[in-house]
Amino acid sequence: MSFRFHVGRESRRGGAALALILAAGSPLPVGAADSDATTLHEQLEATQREAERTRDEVAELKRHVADLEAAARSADATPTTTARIAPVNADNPAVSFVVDTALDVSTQSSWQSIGYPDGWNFTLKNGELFISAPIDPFLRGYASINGTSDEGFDVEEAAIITTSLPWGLTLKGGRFFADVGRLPHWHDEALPFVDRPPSIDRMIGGESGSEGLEASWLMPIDLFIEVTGGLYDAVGSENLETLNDNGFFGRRSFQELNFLGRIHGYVDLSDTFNAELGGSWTGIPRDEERSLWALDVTLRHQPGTQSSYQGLDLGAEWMWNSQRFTERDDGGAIMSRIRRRRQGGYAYVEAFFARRFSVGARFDYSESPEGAADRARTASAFVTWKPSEFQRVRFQFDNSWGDQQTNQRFTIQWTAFIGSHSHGFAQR
Amino acid sequence: MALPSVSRRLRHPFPFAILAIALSLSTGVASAKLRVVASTPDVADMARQIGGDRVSVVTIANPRQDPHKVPVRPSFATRLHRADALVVQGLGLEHAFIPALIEGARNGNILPGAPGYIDASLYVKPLQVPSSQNRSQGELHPLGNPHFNLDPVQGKRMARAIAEGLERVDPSGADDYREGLERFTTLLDEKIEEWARLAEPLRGVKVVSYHNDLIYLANRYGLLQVGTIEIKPGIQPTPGHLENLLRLMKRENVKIIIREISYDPGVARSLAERTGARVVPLAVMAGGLGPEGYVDSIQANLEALVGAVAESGSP
Repeated sequence: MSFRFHVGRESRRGGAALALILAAGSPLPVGAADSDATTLHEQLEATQREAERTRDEVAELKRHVADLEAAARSADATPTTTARIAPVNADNPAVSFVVDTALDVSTQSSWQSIGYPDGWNFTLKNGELFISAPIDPFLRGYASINGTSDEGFDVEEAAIITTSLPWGLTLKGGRFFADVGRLPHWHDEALPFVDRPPSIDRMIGGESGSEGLEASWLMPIDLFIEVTGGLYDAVGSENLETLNDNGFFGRRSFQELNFLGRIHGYVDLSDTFNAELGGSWTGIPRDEERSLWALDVTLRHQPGTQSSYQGLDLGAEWMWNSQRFTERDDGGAIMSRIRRRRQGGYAYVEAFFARRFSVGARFDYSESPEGAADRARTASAFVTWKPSEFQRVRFQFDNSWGDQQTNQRFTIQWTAFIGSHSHGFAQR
Repeated sequence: MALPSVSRRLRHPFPFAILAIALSLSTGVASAKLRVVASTPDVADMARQIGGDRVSVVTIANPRQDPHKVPVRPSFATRLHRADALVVQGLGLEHAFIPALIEGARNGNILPGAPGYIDASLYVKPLQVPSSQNRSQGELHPLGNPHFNLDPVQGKRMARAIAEGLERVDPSGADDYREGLERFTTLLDEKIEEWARLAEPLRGVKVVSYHNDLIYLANRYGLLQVGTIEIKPGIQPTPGHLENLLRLMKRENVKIIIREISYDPGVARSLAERTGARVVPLAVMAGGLGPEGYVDSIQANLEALVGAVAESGSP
């Protein structure tokens, strides 16, 4: 465009000079005529020189365009490779790794019933390889392969989830954390504390690990309400491990499987204040005839603005368990059947004082499978600092007491996230 | 038999179930308007301007929030579940909340790549696209700097992508969306000329910002960004970094500190006190400084900047 304009401008200048030349044909005094003719002659020559320069520039540009076109043709005609090969990793899933390490020291001897080791202890709490990707337009899949100091590597989760079922339905299958309560199905590194609340460990048996099938439905209303139903081999990572190690991989009658029902809701109480409420039942209809009821409440103040980082989380979860214990003799005959009931739970508060700094406290109460006779209470205080989005340092002090020996523990946890690591909506 | 005992237990009604039924009855008749959920106030305003009466728009992010840290609120998952379209600013700006909300929404029509996923960055030429990337460089956006909405010329491109997206989802409204786009871009064209005159004093002014989000704005109006309070994107400043920044500001005679309103005012204020610079609040999303709407927000940002430059005697 600029070139054309340039030529046009030159043409106009040439035209002006020509007009002057023609005007020079009009009768004028001889001296004045000579002077004007000289001036016009100089202008004509200048115009001619400009026109020549323009012609040269045009020619140069044409040559340049021709070269470019030739190069393009040549590139088309002569490929630089013999075949177009897609990179082999083009469809690779998102991969991340969590390094979650800790140093803890306990002041008293071990309190085995709630799993605190004694003395000084460096621990790889969690080395988690997390892989996720869409499988096809209808499914996505993920796997969490987890290693710890005391348990070695294991497939913590490996599951497939539907993405396009109608009516707000989702189906999940494989090995995964069943939708029990709130924190039982969170990964260790996503918890707001150094450890999983002891009551969850005691009541559920670690995180809510399971193998089975789960369906959930998001109600088509303004309020967020999600209903989940599931059928599993076992619920609770320790229970699952025991089941799979018993020599027949948990094969048993349908009524001895674990059933789950959960309803979970969320409501914005104001622009910055919201509440979540959930209730679940997990049960085994036959043999153990177990029922585990859980109720969880979370209140959050999330201004989300500059002062937002001075937010507040309040969370609590309470579980009731009723379970029949059967004692058999060597021949398998039932000697006794006893139903035991117990309960436990925790409550915590975490205040976010700065963009990457928070302080919190937690109280936990639980009863062992033996019932209310073996009670454990733990009061904890914790401070979290995140130097960046991808690393976190947490200090936690726990004081445990109850029907066993009092114990104090101090833990420094250092967690880093390699790669993009997110467990998605469920652990937001 | 044990199974009957299961069904007996399941007959116990949860309070939520009752609440759900009551609320489902109160939800009312579905609106005939196109249900649009917008990630930020900027794209929400554009969708409203372009879609007019044909669209009903809900915004996820609050104008005063950090767009990189918007909390994932399940109440938006329900909106997305029933949405006809999701409008995002794009280039990874909403990475903290949109992927999780889409997952929770269970709506195949708004998944990335589906017709209802409207990416406003489609016609924007990204700047600061990292040629290589790792976390030692901070929280970089692999697709380029996503704060292009601060440049109104990019705003025209965003509007075009949004109008085309709305037309894709609702072809029967094509004429309306084209008219809406024409109206909006005409208004923007007029304002862009006006803003070019208004922002003339910004040319060559050296500034420091909290976050690395000025590139499009700076390129448009000739601001010279000499540093950021963050060490690298998303990495909070250390005392050593602030001392270095202080020396840099004194050496370069920087008189303007731009504090994006979702960031800590304390650090910017402290730097200003030690250097004699002025702190200027900047809204990275429309409505952050008060005036709502994309056009008014650009105006407010420029007026704040020009006012501070006049008071500071920069450059």
